[in-house]
Amino acid sequence: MIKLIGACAIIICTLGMGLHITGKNKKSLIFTKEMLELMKHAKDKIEYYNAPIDEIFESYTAKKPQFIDSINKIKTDGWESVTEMQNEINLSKEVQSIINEFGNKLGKSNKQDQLSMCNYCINRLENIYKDMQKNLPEKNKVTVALCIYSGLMIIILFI
Amino acid sequence: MILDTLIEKSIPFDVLKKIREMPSLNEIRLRKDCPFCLVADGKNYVFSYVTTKKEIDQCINILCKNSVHTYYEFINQGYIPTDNGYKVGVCGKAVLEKKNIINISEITGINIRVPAQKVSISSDFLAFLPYSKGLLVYSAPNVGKTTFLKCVAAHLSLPPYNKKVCVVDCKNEIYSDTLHKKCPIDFFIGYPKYEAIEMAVRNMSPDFIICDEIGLTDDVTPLIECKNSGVSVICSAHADTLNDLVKRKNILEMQTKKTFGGYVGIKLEKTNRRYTFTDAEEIQ
Repeated sequence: MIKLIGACAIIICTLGMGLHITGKNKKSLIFTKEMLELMKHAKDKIEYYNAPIDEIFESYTAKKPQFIDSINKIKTDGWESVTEMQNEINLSKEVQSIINEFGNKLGKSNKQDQLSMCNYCINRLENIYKDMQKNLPEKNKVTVALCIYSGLMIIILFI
Repeated sequence: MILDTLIEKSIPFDVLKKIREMPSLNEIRLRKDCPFCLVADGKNYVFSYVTTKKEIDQCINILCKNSVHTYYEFINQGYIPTDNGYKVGVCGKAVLEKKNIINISEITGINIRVPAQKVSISSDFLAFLPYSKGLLVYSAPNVGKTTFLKCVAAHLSLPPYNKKVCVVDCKNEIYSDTLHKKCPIDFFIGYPKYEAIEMAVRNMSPDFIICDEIGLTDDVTPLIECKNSGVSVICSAHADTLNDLVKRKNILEMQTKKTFGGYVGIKLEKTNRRYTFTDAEEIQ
């Protein structure tokens, strides 16, 4: 009976771990989408209104995005703070580097250069987002399966 | 001396310390690798602290709200527009293409002009002026032309006048949050002067159009046409005396076409400003 309870506990734990990782992956996909929308919003605001960065952030957060706290953190602490969000959101290094590059170059040059920089970053991030969106269900399935298998391995090894 | 938050943030700390010790202030002048200067009551004070290139760049960055793309065109025209009446002039090394300035490769000097803290134009004087004939305000730079126009705009838009006033504010210098927030005035901020005047006359049916710093050839036709359309114009121009003013070719042309009914001169006497009115008919 104890062995059965132990086995169930191990399976539940590993399954929980799997679900936690898939949750992080999903969060990362949503966050990437939100960053993409922020970049597109910035591009539009620069293109049509020549808006300063503060105004871009203000008008974007007025839409009440899902990651409003993270966006406010970027606004106050700078774009490098995306790296600190790694614990919460499982962002790939490539996504992080695009966001940092976008942030580092934002507001540093004339309108034309800004727009071409925006387009470059948006295109790169859009491609990554599409890949992430396509691969996410499979990735999640594999993650959950691996977690369950590792749980079963532990059960076989110890029980 | 207390400054606007954005201006305070942009100024190097050592400069700010000296500013706080000053009872009044007209200008803050920062130059790359040069001692900074403060102008108070018309006197230029040079201090020993040398402002570095890094400090100048940081100051520009903050004044641009970290958004060079927004202020790029203005910087090419030699200024950065700010809120609350501060005028920021910049100079440096220009990059030319077909005789047009396309970029400033390095900003080497900044001049922050602090707006007058207390405006004391007598209400009797303001009530006496024949606004409907058109007015031209003249003075040397940094004496108070824009401040005068700000007051006149507010004065005419409120009771007992209740006039329809349009302000053509090309450099975002006339609009003041504290003075104009509750005044029923139509502001054309950042428009080219010619287009703004034409738009105002055609679409806003104003009684008065107020416009800062005229005198270029492009300003003459729209202002004369504006006056001929039945809209009075109240403008400002740089000139130390009335004689100097009418020596300016474009001003003389407007004088002969009777665009302005009178001229208001401003002189700085110690810390006070003296206002004089001359009727256009008195000028030969």
